[in-house]
Amino acid sequence: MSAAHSREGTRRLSLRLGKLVPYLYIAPALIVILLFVYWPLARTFQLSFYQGNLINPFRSYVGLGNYTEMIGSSLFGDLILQSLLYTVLALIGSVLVPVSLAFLTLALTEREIDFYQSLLFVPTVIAFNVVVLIWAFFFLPTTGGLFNTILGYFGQQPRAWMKDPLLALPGIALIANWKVMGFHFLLAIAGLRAIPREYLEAAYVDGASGWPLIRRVVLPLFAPTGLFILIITLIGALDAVFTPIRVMTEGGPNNATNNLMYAIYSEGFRFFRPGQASALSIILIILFGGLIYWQYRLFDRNVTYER
Amino acid sequence: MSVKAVTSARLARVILFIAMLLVVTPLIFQLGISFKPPDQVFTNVLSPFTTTPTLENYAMVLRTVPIVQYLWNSLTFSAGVTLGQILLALPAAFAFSYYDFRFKNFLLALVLLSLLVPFVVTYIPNYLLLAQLRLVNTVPGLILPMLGVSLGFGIFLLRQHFVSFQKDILEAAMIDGASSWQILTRVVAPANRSAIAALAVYILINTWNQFIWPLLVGGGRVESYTLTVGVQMYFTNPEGGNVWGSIMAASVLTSLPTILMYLAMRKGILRTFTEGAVKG
Amino acid sequence: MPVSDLVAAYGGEDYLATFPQNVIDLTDLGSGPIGIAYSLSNPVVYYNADVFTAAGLDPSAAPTTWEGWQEIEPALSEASGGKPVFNFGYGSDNWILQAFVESAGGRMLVCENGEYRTGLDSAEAAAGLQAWADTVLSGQSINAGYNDATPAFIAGETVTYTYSIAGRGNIQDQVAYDLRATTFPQFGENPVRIPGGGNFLTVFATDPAQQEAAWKWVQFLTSPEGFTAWTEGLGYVPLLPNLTEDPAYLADFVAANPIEQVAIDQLGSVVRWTSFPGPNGLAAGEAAFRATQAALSGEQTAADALAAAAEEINTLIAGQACAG
Repeated sequence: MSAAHSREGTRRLSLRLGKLVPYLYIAPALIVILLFVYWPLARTFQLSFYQGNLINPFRSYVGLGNYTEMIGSSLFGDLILQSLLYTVLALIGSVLVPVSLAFLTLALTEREIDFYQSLLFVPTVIAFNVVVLIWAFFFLPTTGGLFNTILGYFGQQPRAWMKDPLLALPGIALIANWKVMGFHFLLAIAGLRAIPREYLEAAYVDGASGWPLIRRVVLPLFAPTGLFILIITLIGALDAVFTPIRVMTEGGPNNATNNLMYAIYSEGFRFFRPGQASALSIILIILFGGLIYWQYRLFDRNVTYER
Repeated sequence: MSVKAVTSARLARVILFIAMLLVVTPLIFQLGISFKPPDQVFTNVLSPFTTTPTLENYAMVLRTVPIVQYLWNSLTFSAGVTLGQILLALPAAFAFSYYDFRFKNFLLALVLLSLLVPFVVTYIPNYLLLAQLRLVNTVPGLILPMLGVSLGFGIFLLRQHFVSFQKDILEAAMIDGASSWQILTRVVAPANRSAIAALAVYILINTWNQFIWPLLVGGGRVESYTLTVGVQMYFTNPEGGNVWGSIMAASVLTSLPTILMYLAMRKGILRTFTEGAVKG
Repeated sequence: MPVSDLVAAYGGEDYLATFPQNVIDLTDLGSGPIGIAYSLSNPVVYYNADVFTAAGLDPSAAPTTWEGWQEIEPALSEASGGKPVFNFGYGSDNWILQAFVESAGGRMLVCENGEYRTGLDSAEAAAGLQAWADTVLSGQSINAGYNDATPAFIAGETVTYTYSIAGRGNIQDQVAYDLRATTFPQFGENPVRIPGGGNFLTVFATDPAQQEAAWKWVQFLTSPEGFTAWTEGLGYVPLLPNLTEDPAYLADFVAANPIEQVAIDQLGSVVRWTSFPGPNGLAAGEAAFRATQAALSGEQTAADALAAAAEEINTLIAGQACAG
């Protein structure tokens, strides 16, 4: 092989490589995502047609049996309903509250904003199960629990908060929203920062008469951030209540705090029924995908993205 | 400013202050109870403070819990996931930001859609895979699937920063004959180091705080407990532990590393999220 | 690995001979023993003797019947400043539920025409759960899972605590009052039936050297020395006879720890803990757990809750064959 020939070869190689370069950069990440997200997802789909245990999950093929068992279960309706309830509470606690608080900071100085932002963010950096342990003390069923002590001052009987079918779900949601709120507050402030200051000041100085300006100018400019917060809340709502449920109620009392996502965990790792868990997983993915797509379509019409 | 504006500013301050109190109160109790002598936890419940603080709860935790082992597991687990995700996300975000290639949009969609797959949905297959590889109850077993699970977020966030980067600097570097790898490692990465660092801290904190996954994969052996799993076992173990003072002490010890990290990196983290995450 | 193979390969006949036959039988599922029963726990009623004294009651004569406890409940409540008297920590293992159901004359699991079904839909089972639920609904008892129940009792937030003897060491270490215990209460004329409890240890080894080491270790754990350390530390009841009377081992300890004696005394009332059979057994257990929660919160009566649970359980465990 002559030198010229070989140089020509390398050049051609690098040209060919040149086209391959972006793929080479992406390949490692993509392989990892395929291996640990999409491949397991495909396996879950496959598993949903079998029954077995965690040692032998493919023991017997049952067709759609797991789906009919799960959907036909007397608990399924409650699972859906309570999943929606958690989502609604998340929309209040993790969207409405932090966004409203962020709008309130418009009246504040930079130093004050920094102060609130930093403190409200602290729950984000604490492990979720640690957060739950702290709240478990507040929700203690004894007379000496913090909430029960407060009730005591009002002459009320102590309550078994997390064993009460009506109080347990809001209690779990409270913990989850407390944990997530600060992060969303931060995102909302970021969204406001992107809006030119003079619009905000104009809206603000005019006080109540500034409301039309907020509605027509500020809110549309805030919409992309709002959408982002909304979507991560929808994606994360059931995830956020997962650890509190796992630590405090295991879905109880009598299913009152259960939801689709925790039920998957229960079937898989508490009752060791991977087939049933997988069927619920597929149901969750379908509902989830539908919800996100609907949201996206809804907003795509109204929001212009800044790319 | 009008009178109305001044009153509404005062109202805003009051509301924000109350919200801040509500958020901070549980944390004050966490810290306060950890210093309370055991017999004072249920007397004067409403006050998190005590006039006779004690370190006994901390001593008890350090005596009965192999906290150094847990700490080491949490560290290697979080560091492994963080390093892995950054190394994977950086080149991918680079390619998605500056190259045009076939299937780009499809591949990007694949990356982003992976964020919509709840982790719980992949627990069982991932667990079975690790069992096959004999990685259950090991730290590498904890790390591997976590690399894929939120990787899309890192790629997304870095791409947001990269695309807003001055293209002419890149072009200048290219004219100088720099290879794309050099551009990534010598130009793009250093220029975005604060964003990368903030992302790293965010992943680190998130991984450190994982609970369900390390419980499933590492919960079978004390040697593979992370701090979060360890503190939980301490809470639920019916044969030991289980008084509030020491539970709170254990939880403070678990939270301390991430809180310190947050305090040290606060500005950078807040800035990165305020600039990167919300661009769309 | 069956025990007989271990003995054949690595010895240990003398060791095996120290166990009474009924203990060997505990791990025999029909083809010879597959393990060594380690130690056993059972539920006892811990109580705060200081409150008894304050109420003018004799702390050394705690009730042994449900009726007896009901009689002194008002006095104990008053003496404790209105604190709930009872505390039955429970969880998805249905351990305490079984104690109530079976001591009231019901059964968790029965064998009918060669197939298992649950006995939870009987009037006796409902009476047992309802008795418990009534204490919760009237404020006599807190409604708490294991995690909340133990610290509540340790902190003196309840007068009694019905819980495993395995918690003895921990509770004893941490209470600031005079801690004593009595047997699980009797309901009317029914014999007390309380579930045994415990954990198991499995050693996975294919290497003969490791197998031998594991077998030796099991022998040590279940030797007089091993049992002594285990019982002193936690409270589990040893399964070697006479160990608690042998001055070389646990005699002194038990003499100084009358609480442990309570658990030993009621060994005769211990029945096998019910785990529902078949691949859906744990899901069936969850149904019983849900019924317990529904009854304790007053959402349903015990009878209604158990009837619904029984229907669900019987579907889940259908087709599981039994003998007898």
